[in-house]
Amino acid sequence: MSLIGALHTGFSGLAVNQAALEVVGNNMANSATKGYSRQSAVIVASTGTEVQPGTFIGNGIQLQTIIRHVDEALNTRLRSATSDQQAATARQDVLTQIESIENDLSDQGISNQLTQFANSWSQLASNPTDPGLRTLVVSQGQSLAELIGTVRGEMSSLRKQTETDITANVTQADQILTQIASINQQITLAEGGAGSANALRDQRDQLLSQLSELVPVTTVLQPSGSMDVLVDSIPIVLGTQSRGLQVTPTNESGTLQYILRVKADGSRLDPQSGKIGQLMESRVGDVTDAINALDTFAGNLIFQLNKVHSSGQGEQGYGTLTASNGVLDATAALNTPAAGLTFQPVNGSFQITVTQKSTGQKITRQINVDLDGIGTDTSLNDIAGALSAVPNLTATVAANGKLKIDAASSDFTFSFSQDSSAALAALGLNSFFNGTSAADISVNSALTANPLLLAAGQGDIAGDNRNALQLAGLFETPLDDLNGQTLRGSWENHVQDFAARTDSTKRLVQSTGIVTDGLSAQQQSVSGVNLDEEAVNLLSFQRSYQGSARFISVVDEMLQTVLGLVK
Amino acid sequence: MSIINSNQGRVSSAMTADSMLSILRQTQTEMMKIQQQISSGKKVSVPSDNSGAASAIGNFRNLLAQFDQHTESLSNASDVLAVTDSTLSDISDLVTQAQSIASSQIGVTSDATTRSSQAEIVDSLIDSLSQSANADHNGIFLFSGRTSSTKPFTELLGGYRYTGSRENLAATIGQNLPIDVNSNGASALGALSSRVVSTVDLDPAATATTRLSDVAGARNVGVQLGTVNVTIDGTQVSVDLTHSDSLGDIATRINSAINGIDPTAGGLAVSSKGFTLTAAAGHTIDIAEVGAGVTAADLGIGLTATGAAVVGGDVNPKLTLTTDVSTFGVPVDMTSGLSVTSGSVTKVIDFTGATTIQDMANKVSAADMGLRLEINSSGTGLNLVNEVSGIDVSIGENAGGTTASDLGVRSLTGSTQLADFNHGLGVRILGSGQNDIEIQLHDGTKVDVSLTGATTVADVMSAINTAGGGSVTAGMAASGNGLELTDTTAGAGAFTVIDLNNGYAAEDLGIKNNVGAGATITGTDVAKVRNESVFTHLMALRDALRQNDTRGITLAGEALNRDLDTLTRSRASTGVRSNRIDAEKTRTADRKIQTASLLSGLQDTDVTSAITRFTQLQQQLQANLQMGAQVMKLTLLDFLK
Repeated sequence: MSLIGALHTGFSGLAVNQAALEVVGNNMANSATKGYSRQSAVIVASTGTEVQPGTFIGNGIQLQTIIRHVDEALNTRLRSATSDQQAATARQDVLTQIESIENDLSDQGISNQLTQFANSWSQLASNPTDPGLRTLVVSQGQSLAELIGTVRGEMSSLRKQTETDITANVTQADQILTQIASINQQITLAEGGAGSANALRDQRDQLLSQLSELVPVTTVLQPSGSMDVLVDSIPIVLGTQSRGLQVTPTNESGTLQYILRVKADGSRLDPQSGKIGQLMESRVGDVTDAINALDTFAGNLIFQLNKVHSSGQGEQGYGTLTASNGVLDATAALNTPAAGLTFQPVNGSFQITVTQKSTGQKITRQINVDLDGIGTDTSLNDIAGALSAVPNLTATVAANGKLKIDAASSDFTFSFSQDSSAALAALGLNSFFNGTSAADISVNSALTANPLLLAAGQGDIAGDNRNALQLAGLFETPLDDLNGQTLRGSWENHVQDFAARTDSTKRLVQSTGIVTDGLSAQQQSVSGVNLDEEAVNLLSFQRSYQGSARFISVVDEMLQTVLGLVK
Repeated sequence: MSIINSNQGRVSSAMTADSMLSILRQTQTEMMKIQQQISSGKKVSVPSDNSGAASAIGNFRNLLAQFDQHTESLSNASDVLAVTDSTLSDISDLVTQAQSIASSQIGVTSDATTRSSQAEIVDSLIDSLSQSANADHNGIFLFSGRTSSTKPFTELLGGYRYTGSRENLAATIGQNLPIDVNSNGASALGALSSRVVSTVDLDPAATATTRLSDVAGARNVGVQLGTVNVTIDGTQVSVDLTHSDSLGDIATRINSAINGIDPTAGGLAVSSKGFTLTAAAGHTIDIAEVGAGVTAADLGIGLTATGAAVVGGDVNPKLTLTTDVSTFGVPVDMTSGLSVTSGSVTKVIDFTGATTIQDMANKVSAADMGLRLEINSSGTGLNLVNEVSGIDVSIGENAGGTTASDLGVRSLTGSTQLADFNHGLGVRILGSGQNDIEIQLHDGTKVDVSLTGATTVADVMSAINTAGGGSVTAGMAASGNGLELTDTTAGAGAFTVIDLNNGYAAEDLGIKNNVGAGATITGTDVAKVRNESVFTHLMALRDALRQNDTRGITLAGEALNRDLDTLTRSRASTGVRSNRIDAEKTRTADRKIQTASLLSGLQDTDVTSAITRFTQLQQQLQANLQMGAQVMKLTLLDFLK
């Protein structure tokens, strides 16, 4: 054992403790750095020198390695929890937006507008002679139609926004993949299979955590230090190569679907959680579903209301009238796809009454609509023919497939009644609403121009209110076409359905949040920096350093002493 | 809320900060929610705030709006009824006044001049009545029924014509129960009470286009559509008849089923009474109910045909405006027309060229005689209704035709009560077997007739025919109306009818006449019909006063007395409706309060508990902040020198 050797022992203490202090310093500096994993210097005693057989004297210390405190299993669980939480949050965002667009518990909601509309009919029924109340019914109808249209428009925007979100998030995910691949490469180079590029690994973990917010990923750590990333066992990063992600809007069975694919080979991914997966799911399952519910409701509203309205009469008859819905083929039976009517008429009949204004004389004819599927069924041309056979009436089918009925002169008007076939409503004759869905619902412009055409009465009696009474009660009447549901009930069901979805998603956000918080607390407990702990380490390494320095000075003195012997 | 496991080994500095942040966020979010609840007053502002209650909240909100609307409708109906009541009271007052004039002008204390001047007062009362009867509230005419926008009474042919309906305008109040809002001249003032009610069942034939809703059904309870079993030579198929609209649809569906089994087996055809089931030779077709169904019974097609035709039950098609007149089951003379006299105007209403009942109604209204042709409530026959009060109407045959009799709208028939003659004065018959009239014939024969016990026109005709023994016959006039006597004898004597024993029977029957050598005495129609309305009776009183006719004054006075009863009943019914509406108003108000309180329970913020919760959260926040500040402040580094 030499004194020089002892100097070396002292020096190893200085050097290693200094390194350890640096690690502590690094930990302290990064105590608030997101994604930073605490590092520890692993210090071991150097192998001793045998001074006599069986007796060893230590040669100081050496820095074996600097390790990161990470728990890979925990990280995996945390990433999966993060995917779940982000999915729930994304869905919550979408559902909350739908809810606020519909805003159904407010005075501006569809439910309330429906009530106001029904009440305006009831008001008209209590005083059918008041022209102001007719205007009120028409304008309430317009408010309802406009509201439905606005809600529909905002829902469409929401769907577009969701689509933009999907694309943006996929682009972001794709960039993260590129970064991970590049870090994989750096790690492989830096570690050469054995080293520890801690900062790079931290960065990669950080990127994986960001990626798991978007798509649920699993990872496979390779011996080279690089990490493969997979979605549903399909690799998206392989070693130093990102296989990339892209979203392709594809037309699938008539509807536009957003599909996530791997750029490299186009394999289809169906992520069940993460923001992207949830947005793709919510786009169809929530937004499109809500739009469809609104369209169905609006369609039912239009058809059911028109069915009653078209069989009533206003204070005035029509001199000329053009159907608002055309057929594709005027020779096809009205309820066939060839005719192309959105609303289907059924087997039945309706009556048309032509009134001569100067004499008050009326002629009523029954128009049969034979749609029983046996023998020859009624086409629009047949109806036009039957109408033209009524004295003082001409009916033609225009090139656009719309029926046009004209009275012979301004002395004649015509009105409709007792339609058991719903043909009038299906064709849009004497209708209240025009359109077929929420996208195009509007009040028949003939009524806005002349509210006297509003069919408040039945039996061709001026001042009658029976049709208005029927319409006022229509929204609360169970309808066979809606399987015994009421119109209002069908809308309330939808609102209830989405309220339940939103509510359960809010709970899911909370519960997944608790899981994530718990896991990240666990992760922090493994990887987080505790300043007190570091301070203690700081003290001990500092003391150790001081000790080594003191030891060197003692050895130095010893050397001086030894050298002093040589004079 | 604990999100950190209690067995956590290490606590990192960042974790302390994170967990503090997380708790701060949660507390503040919850505080904001409560702040929102307190400031908006609502704990449920979007459906997902309480998804279980969302539907109930929507429902209650709708109910509240409906209650408001009901209250408004009720107030409107109640206003109309209040005005109706006061108008009926005005009318009662003027009828009472007219009635007291009638009773004061009967006795000897009055004379022609006084009566004539009193007639002017009655005339002004008629004007007031016309004004009251045409009164409206807010545009709704009080006495025009469903035709609420049309003035109900207009002057026509010197009388007052009622153009309103028999049914009232109804409004729904809660639970969809209708309540009448206004009244109609027919029930309140007797404006359509003319007694020409047809008893002829025109029995229209069924056609393929006859709607199922327009038939009374073989059991007279309408048609309930369902499925029937059709068995063709032992093979059974069930045929769904729901969604059928017309009789033709039924036949089409059943025939399609039969053709599906054996096109040669036969078929079901629409025939005049309903359906006829025909099975070709060697085939058997059977139609039967499925289970306890009633469809086959209602359609009268529960039949079995074996190699022959079987006619089903009569489905009794009802008359509608579009019923084709050629389908009437009884012969109707459509070419001769009706001879109608309204007041002093006589016109012939000719139905030539009419193809539907509506065409006939058009022809009646085109004559502008104040008449309307109505289908009776059971849909079997036609009534000719006199809309004009104050004038007499006589409906008879034209030029020997049978139109009026065929349709059953003749105003004088064999069954007309003698008591109805002369506006209800009747025919003065001596009684006790005394001879009332004497008929002198051409051959000098005098036929004395006793009308004792006769109550109808037929009784009178039979008494004359019996007494005449063939030399004189009595019947109804072939043209116009009235009794007609024919002298079958020859000779130089004058054909004369006179009263015997100071009686008035011949005069009251309208047959007192001397036609000399003529063979026919056509009586005048003294049994014309009129509306027994307040208008008619006031006008009768006015005319009687002008003509100084005490018998007429008495009769008018009595009629006005009856009118007062009618008016009292009308007022009572108005009162009952008012009470119902008041009760409904109270009930609606009660329900509104209940519903509002239920809604409030679901939707409104319980301010006490919200503020309590807010205070708790405030403390939590404060504690969290203090704790956090303390914990984060402490670090070993501070203690190292």
